[in-house]
Amino acid sequence: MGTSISALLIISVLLTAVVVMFKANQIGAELLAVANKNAAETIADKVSTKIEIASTQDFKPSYEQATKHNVNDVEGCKRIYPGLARTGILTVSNEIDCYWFLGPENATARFALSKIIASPVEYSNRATGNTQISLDYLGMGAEISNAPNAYGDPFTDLNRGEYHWNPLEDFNLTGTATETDPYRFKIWSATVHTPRNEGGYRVVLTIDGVETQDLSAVACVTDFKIKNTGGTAFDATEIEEKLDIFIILNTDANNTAMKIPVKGNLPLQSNQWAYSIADDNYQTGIFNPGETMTLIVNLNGEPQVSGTLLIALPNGVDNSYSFPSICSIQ
Amino acid sequence: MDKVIVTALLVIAGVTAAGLVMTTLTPIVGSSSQSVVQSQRDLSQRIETDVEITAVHAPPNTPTSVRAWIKNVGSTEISFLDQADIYISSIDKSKFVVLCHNDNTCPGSWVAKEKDGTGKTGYWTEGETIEIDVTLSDTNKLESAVKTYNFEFNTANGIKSVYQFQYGQ
Repeated sequence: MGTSISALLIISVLLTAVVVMFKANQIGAELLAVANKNAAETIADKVSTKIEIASTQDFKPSYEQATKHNVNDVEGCKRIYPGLARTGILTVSNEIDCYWFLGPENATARFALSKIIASPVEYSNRATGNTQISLDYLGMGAEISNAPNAYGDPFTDLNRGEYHWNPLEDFNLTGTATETDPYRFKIWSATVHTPRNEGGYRVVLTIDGVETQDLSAVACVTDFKIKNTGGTAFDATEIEEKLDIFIILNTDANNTAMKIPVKGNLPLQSNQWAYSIADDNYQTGIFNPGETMTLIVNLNGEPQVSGTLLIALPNGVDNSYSFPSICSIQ
Repeated sequence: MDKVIVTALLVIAGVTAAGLVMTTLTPIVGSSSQSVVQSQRDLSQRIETDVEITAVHAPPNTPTSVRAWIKNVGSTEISFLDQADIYISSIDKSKFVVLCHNDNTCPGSWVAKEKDGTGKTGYWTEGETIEIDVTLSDTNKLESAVKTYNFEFNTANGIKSVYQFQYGQ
């Protein structure tokens, strides 16, 4: 009798132990299953995430500003930098363009000039190239004039059938140029005195011993375009709270500064960013695959230099983009 | 009469034996089941933990300072951040610095900050990015001659992320 009772008790205890162990294993297995599922989802999410970054760029106001260095100038001159092409168009209402530049005294320089024949050049003149684009180097001090015979040296006239002046005709930079009295040249139609549509041009200046100017001197980014080219969507909360924006500014040749703007609202304060989603008709507020986000960053007060934008998405996928500089926000 | 006595003795012996088995087995079963669950929980925590170093910045004018930004890209929050292990080493293997948490007597020290620059406290939530500010001792400062370094971050439960950075860029 006693043996039977004790045997029953022991068996029940052993059974309970087995059940408890089984249950513990079951709980552990469920934890692992959930963890594996979450990890798999995270990895799949990352694998299917991809963005491409582009930007909208504009010239800096200083690059577009035309200055009359001589009181008799008929046209203000815009700055041109060695190695950075300038384009323009001569029309009935814009017969002359003028550019100024700086360089080391006595350095050797040269121009390359090309015609770009398109509208508003009359159709009959397009096929034959019957237009004239002239370049006249005036050096320092001489007035910018549209008068006949106001020629410079060196000069060229691209006439009918001539599309390029790239003879690499060297000339010397005489005198010490300054921003108030720089080297200048004009682009016009030297021997055509009746206004007509001469068409577009592209001019490049090179100066021996002077490196091509960094784009950051002339161009800046007004906004960045981030296209969701993957298969993952991000909601507004994820973007506003978990999207990371890093901006590395090349403050000088061997130095960088890291800026970490924070999410802000328009109008932006300095060191803030804001975004909008273009054509956000499907699931408003969610950055869906195929959609493009416009990102504006306010870095007013920071040096306008080239740099790199680094974007880390909420799931850690990142991409970077080099820019010439970021425009000031008015 | 003898039979009754024997039966009573057997009952007492049986109940005592059963009691002994219960008192010895129950805690063992309890603790072993707990450890099974705990080990599985730890393992699942490791599986769900993931971090990624997003950026590291080491400006040349401050060779004793390094800043890193690390994102929790796993599917669980991370605790015990102060127990994380961080190392800085040069790729030519000439330098290896083990960093201590918030201890300036070490060859290098680090503190964690929120993105807004305030001190990091509490859990490191999913998707959150923290900043790690490293201060190296003068004897362990970054050298311009050895410009490429590895920044290694290990969570308290052993999940690692490594980022290669250029000193001075």
